[in-house]
Amino acid sequence: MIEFQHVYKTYPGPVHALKDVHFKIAKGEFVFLTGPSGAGKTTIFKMISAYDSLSSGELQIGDYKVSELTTKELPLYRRKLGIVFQDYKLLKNKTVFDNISLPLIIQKERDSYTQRRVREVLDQVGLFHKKEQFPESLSGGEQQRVAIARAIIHQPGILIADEPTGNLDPELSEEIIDLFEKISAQGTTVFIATHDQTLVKKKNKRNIHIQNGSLVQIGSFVQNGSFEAKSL
Amino acid sequence: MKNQSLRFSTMMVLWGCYTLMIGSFLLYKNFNQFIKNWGENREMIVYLKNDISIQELESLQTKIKNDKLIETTQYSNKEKVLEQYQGQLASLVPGLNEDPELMNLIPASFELKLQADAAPETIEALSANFQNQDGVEEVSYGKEWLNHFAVLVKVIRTALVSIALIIFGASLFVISNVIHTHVFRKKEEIEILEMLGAGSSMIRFPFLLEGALLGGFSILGAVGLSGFLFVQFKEYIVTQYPLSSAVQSLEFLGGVEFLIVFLGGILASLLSSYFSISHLNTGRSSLFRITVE
Repeated sequence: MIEFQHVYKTYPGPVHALKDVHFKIAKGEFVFLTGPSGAGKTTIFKMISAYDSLSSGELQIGDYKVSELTTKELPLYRRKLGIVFQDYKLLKNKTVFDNISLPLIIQKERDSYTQRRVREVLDQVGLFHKKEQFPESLSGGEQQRVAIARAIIHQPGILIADEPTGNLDPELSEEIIDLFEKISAQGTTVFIATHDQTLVKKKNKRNIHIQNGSLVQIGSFVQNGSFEAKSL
Repeated sequence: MKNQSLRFSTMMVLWGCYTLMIGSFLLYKNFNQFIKNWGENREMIVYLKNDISIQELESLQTKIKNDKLIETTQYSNKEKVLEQYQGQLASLVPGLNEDPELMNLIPASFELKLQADAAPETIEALSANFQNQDGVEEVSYGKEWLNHFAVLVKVIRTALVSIALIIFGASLFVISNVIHTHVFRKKEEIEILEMLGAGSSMIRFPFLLEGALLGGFSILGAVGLSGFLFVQFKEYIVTQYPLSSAVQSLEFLGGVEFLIVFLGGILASLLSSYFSISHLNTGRSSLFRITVE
C-alpha cells in the first residue's frame, strides 16, 4: 500500500516540486504515473524510495512511515521495494545471474534458495539462456528484463519503475508492461512512471496524472480510449 | 580490465608517494645518526689546581659521579699526564725529562665524556658549575665549536624536518585524492547496492579491504624500491669515500621502523578509503535523476 497524505516537497530556490500530493494505491494494484518532464514524477519516486525527505505531509508505505525512517532502518525498508530505472542500473562487471542474485545475497539468503529463485525469475523474464552473459552484451529490452528480474527476485510488496520503457521501441515496451502486469497479478503493487500516453491508453489501468508538482487527474483510460476521471 | 588498470595506476601513484616518504624519513634518520656519531666525541676536561685538597677532590668526584650528563669519567693525575707527555714529546724536545719545573706546569684533570644529545646550554651550565667548585683551575669543552655545531645541526634538522613534513603532507594529500578518485568511480555501484538494501558494513567492507590491500602492496613496493636505491647510493658513496666512518654507518629501515612504515602505509590508505566511502555511502544519494524542462 502506498499512501501520500498532503505531501509537499520544496527544494532551495524555492522550487516547489510537489504541492499537496494526496493519493492512495492499494496492495496489488497496478497504477501508472504520468505527466510531462519536470512535473514531479521522479520526486514522487524519490520520496517512496526514501532518497529524499518530505517538506510536509505524510507518506505511508506498507507498515512504514517514510519520514520516520532511521538510517539503520533505511536498508531494511529498501529491501521491501523493487526499483526499476529507465537506464537499468545493472552492474557491468557482473553477469546476468550475479546481477539478479544481488538482492538475495544482500539479504543473506541461503545459496541453494538463491540459485533456485534466480532460475525461476530468469524463466519468468525469458532470459535463462543468457544467465552467464554480461549486461553490455544484451539488447536494451533484455537489460530491462534483467533489471525487472533483479527488482522482483526478493518478492517485494511494491515495485516502482521510473520510465522503464523510455529507451525501448513500442513492441518491446508493451512486452515489458505485460511483464509488469504479470508481476502485479501475483500480488505486488506496481507503480510505473511513464511519458508514453499510447501505452497507458492501451491498458485499462488506473492513472495518476501530475503537472507542476500537483495532481491534476486520477482515473483510467477505458476501452474506447476516453478517460474516466475519479475524484482527487 | 578497466578496473584492473585503474587499480594498477592507483597503486603506482601510492608506490611513488610512499617511496618519497620513506626516502625523506631515511634522510632524516641518517642525518640524526651522523650527528649522534659526531656528538659522541663531546668531552669536557676539568683541570685541577696544583694545591687541591683531598676533600675538594672527593667533593668534585662525587659531583661528577652524580651528574647524569656525564657518561664516563677518567681521572689523570699529574704523574700519569707527565708520563704521557714524556712518552710523546721526549724525542722532539731533548732534555724535557730533566726539567724539574715540568711537574708544576702539568695539571691533574678529569676527562669527562658527555651525553651525545646534551644541549650546549646544559653543557655551559655544567662547565660554570665546575668552574665555581673549589680546587678547579679551568674547564675546557670547546665552547665555540660546540655552539657553531649546535646552530648548524639545528638549521639542517629544521630544514630536513620541513622538507619531510612537506613531502609527507603532499604525499598524504595525493594518496587520499587518488583513493577518493578510485572510490568515486564506483559511485554508481555504491548507489545500486544502497538501492537494493545493502547495509553500510556490506558496502564499505570491500572498499576498505581494497584500500588496505592497495596500501599494503604499495608500501611493500616502496620499501623494496627505496631499499634498492639505498644500497646503490651506499655502494656509490663507499666507493667515493672509502675511509669515512659516517658513510659506513648509513642505515636503512630497522625491523620496528619497517613495521611502523608498513602499518602506517596501510593505515593511510585505509583511512583515505574510509573517508571517501563515508562521503559516498550516505544512503541518500539517489539514482533517480530529476529532469527539469
